[in-house]
Amino acid sequence: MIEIRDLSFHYKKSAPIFDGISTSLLPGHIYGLLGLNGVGKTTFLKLICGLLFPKTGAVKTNGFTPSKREVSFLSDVYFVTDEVDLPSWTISNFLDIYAPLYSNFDSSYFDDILAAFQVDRREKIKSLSYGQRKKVNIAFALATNTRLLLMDEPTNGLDIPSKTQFRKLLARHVSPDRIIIISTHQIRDIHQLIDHLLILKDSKLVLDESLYDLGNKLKFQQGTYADALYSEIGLNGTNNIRSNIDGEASTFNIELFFNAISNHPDLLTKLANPSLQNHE
Amino acid sequence: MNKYLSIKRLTITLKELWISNRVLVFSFPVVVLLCIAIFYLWPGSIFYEKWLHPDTFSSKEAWLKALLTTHTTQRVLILFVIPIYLVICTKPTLDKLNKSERTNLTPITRLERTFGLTSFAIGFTCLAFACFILYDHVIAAWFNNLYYEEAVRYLEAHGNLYPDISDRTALYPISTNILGVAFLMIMLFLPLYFLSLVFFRKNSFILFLGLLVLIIITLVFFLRWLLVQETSSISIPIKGLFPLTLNILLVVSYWYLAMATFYHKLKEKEI
Repeated sequence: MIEIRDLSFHYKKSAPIFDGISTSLLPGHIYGLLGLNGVGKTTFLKLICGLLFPKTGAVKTNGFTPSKREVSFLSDVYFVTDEVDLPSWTISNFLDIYAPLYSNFDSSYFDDILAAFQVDRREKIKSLSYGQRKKVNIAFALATNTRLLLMDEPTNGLDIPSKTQFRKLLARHVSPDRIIIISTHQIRDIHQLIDHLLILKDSKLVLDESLYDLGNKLKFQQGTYADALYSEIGLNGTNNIRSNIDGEASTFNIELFFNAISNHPDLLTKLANPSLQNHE
Repeated sequence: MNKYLSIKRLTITLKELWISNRVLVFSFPVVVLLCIAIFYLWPGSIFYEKWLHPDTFSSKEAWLKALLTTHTTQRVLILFVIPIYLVICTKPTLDKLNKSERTNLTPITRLERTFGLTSFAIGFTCLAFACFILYDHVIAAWFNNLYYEEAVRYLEAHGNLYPDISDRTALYPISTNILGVAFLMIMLFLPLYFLSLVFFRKNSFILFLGLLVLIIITLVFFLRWLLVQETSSISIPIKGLFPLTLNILLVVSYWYLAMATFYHKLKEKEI
């Protein structure tokens, strides 16, 4: 479990990144962390894993204070960064050195993932392409079986079949004791996986809600509706977000919803309105 | 498993350094041999003249005179290759500790990182010294085999019945005292280098060199000022346990302070 209380952070005092953020992230979920460029998504992940320290407030991850970087904490966390920063050795060497540091590391699972990604274990990491290095890093991350898995733009650089493999692997990886947080702009790559949305905007966590709850409040329909909360013209016609007053099930369109929040911040106020929650 | 220092993780830290640098470590004996060859065969040196331009020496006596009067202790400067190697081997690791998310999230404590880096650097320095000493002794023995008898006969022919050949000539290996000073200099350089590289996030190596130059200049000026201030006409040379202990204490304190600061700076590092 991740407990964040009144978290504030800045690189420069004049430009706060976070201002009094509080939330609790529970195991058994895949969180989608969204926000515009520069809003602090990577910073948020770094604060959770202890690469950065809060200016005020506190972060508790799995009962540890991340900034202390205790070994028991670090051996239960893996951060897949956007830039792949792996040594230039062979994959086997990389595995021999670092796998023993993670008590739940599963070597055969690592091999299975590499095979699914079509990467040869005997290869030298420096001879791999960016996408292949990313695959090695994702395979290692999943094989560590850590209780907290942070991913920053994990599908960047992956080819189309690998994105499918990635979705399958992640869907299998989620378990009641694990928290997975994915920060991405490529929401279409993973929108079927995410079950909880976190949206950062203007130094605040403006949305922290499960897709199930959001789906109870909103429905997504094509056509022309006068009562639409937000509409966007797409290739297949007009896509709308409407209040789900009749409890109708629809596929949650995260991209449309994010655009709606970015373009019409008042939608968040409407979301907080109890009249949108009559289905609950 | 120990919270701060475990043998398993320390071994992993050393393995990390070893795998990244084994080619460099294996290249060291070759590079030192090359440096020694360059030293002895540098244009103008007696061996360059003897082996490549034998006509330079008009007679055997002229050659032996040159051999016995030319000091070759400057070859100790070849040992400066060691700090260069240390920088090349450890800089990528120190840069990663400064900047890499993966390295800083690897479940290895900062104490283990500090111990690992220090052990690797000291271990490499000792092996490098051993390699240099071995070469130096082998070459000195070879020169002895080639020229010692002739040199003794030459000295005896000139009335020197108890030949006293200087240990600064090519016939003798570098003395332990000179090697000790070189080793101490490298050991003094090490913690300052480590500290500078984690202290300065950008251009750390250039800033480290600047700091080194500043410290040397300050020390030189301070010592000069101290000598100018020295007005006493009686000097009492003190030898023995006290000054030696004081020197050791100073070096140990410097080492401890620098390494402790390095460790704490690592702990506080935000990436």
